[in-house]
Amino acid sequence: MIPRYLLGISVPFLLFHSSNFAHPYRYVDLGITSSEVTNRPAILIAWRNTHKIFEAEVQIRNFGEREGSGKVYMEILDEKGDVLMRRPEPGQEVKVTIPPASQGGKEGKIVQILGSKDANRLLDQLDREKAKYAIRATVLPLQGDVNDANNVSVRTYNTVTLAHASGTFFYPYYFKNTSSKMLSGKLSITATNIPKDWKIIPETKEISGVELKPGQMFQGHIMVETGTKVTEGQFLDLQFTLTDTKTQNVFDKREWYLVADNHPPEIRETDIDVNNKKGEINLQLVAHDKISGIAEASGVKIEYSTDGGITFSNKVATYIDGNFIKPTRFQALLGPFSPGASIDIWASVNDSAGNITRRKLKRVQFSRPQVTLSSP
Amino acid sequence: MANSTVGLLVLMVALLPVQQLAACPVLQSKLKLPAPELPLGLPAYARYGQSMKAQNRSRFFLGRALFFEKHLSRDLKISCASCHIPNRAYSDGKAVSEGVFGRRGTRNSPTLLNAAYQQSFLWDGRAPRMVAQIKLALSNQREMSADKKYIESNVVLRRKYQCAFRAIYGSDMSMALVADAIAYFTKWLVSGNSDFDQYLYGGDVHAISESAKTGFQLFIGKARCVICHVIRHPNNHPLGGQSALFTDFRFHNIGIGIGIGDNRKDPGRFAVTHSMDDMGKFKTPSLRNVDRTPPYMHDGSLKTLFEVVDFYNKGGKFNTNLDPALIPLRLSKREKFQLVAFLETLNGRCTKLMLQAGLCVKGRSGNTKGIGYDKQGRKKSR
Repeated sequence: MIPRYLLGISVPFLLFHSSNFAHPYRYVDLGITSSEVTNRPAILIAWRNTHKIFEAEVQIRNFGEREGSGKVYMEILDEKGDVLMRRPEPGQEVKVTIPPASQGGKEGKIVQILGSKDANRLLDQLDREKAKYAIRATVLPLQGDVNDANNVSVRTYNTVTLAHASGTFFYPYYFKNTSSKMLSGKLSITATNIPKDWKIIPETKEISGVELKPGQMFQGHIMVETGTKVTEGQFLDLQFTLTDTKTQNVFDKREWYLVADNHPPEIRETDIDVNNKKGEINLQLVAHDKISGIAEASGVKIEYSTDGGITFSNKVATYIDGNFIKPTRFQALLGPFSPGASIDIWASVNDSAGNITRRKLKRVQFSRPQVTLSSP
Repeated sequence: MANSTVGLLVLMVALLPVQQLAACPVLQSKLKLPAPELPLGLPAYARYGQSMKAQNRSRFFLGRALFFEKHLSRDLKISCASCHIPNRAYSDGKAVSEGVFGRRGTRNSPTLLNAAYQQSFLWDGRAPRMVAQIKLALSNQREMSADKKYIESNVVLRRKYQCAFRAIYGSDMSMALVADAIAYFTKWLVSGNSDFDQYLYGGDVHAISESAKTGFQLFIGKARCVICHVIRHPNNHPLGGQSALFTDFRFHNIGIGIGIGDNRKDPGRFAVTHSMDDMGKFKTPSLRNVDRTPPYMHDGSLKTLFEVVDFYNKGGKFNTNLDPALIPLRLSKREKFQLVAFLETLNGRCTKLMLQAGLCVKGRSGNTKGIGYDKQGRKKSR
């Protein structure tokens, strides 16, 4: 029973109470959406540290009306969804606090997740073998979140992405129940604007009743047929989301990016500095690909030959600055080589669609130390 | 009758802090503070939660008064503003700062402008938050040498500020609350909207000189400064962005203070983490207003921007933990000048609030489009 004298103030008080205490985080919505530059998930592989150790950058936004905090981590997955590596280790996730949408939350923050030498080796190996893999980024809201659907995002690498006219393109997807519990799920397929005359087969947008025992895998495929004419730059980004129907949390995601890009990347400028004393070659190059962008991670390689161009070794050039679409700068340090060595240097740049540009840059001849003979 | 009495009581309780605020001399400012603004080129997130409502306005004025308060130091001669001088972009122009009784510190006083965006404080990142950094500065024997007991029992301080602390915080003055008020004030010291911001984010192609434009290309290119002094823009970052803080918030060993021939060894970040990997590492400072904050580096050992560029051009100073990014850059003398010309365009303009509150001198905001150095690398007089 509310005393009579409180009746006058009880309504606003209770309103205040219900919005601030009963559901304190109903307006928090942390999410990982897409990059404003590429329209693909806002996840990036780059080496933005001076030691050039792999790191992932993830843009976390808040679409809610209240400040929200979360813990961020990323995983490297194989094609089947098995986790090959997680960074940082469990318990050491990167904590991030994002203000409300109207006060900087929409702009969000970029969270840098430093990899490790092991992670470097793993990505290098996957890229060398052209194995399909994905980076999955997760933000775990610390106080609850009004929309769990955007807390997980996945970006795939080394999948077939090059679309051409009158083509049929096929993408198999796999989801594995990597948990120790039975999973009841629902798969939803969403797409960016579908280019005119492109057709997705099947057109199903949702598959419900997915039941997976621990360790069990769910496999499906999707096809895209392009029209008789494609315009350079047309693209389709498909997202496959498996949601746990019991918790309504995203269990896993996949991404397939298909783009009409028949223009190979361009190498614009190179700068080669030879250090004769140390036997080192310091190289910078600027490359760009205006449609699908230079491939992240191992997109730019410096190939070098010590036997006159018969066989080559390569070194991945690391990112310095740029957005992979407009001129972007990379660097590599080769050597040390022995005095007198003759090195043929080539650059190999590939874009996200798989087009490759190779170009001979220079032959570097290291000088031999002068030997002076003194009379006995 | 009962209803109206309770209603009056509720109103009185609600108005009590406002009445108390008005009664404190230190808070009786007639200044009308404009609404907070976000200068071009700065990210929005640090402005969150800051509005000039009555309570925040009082906290701002309390913080401002404490920032200039010399009674917070043991010899009554040093305030925060002694080492963070408004006219010097909140640095002090000395190689290393001077604290109470003329005691010299060991490191250069960094600018406070845009400190709100920092992820850790002090050159070695020892303080995770601004409040912690202020407490360290207050109590450091070489800085203000004022411990908790000194502050809480100081008669002058109590007489001047006790009323304000009670009105704002509902509690007596303490070191923690002093630090909180100063930190709150410091968060308003933002600086953006520089000529470079006008050029990059504002789309004004004439905002900077041709040599500064070339300097910018060197900054993101041949000189590779951007690796640590990060810029976010759709052309520079795959995730886009509209702000540049010119720092990666990380720690690097560039050889200063730890290299061969250095008399004063400073272990830097190692003193915090005790990891040999961190030996000689110091936090990347922001480059905003860098032209106005000489001398440079954590020990103030480089006097001009030209010397700084020249230092990096040589690949830093060799030591066993030198950052691998530091290699000779092969910049020509002309390119060094162009890089300096670009750095000179990073002087921010005052916000309306800072101008109104007397925290920024108009005209000092910088509008330097040309090269401020002669051919010998000496600073030109303006």
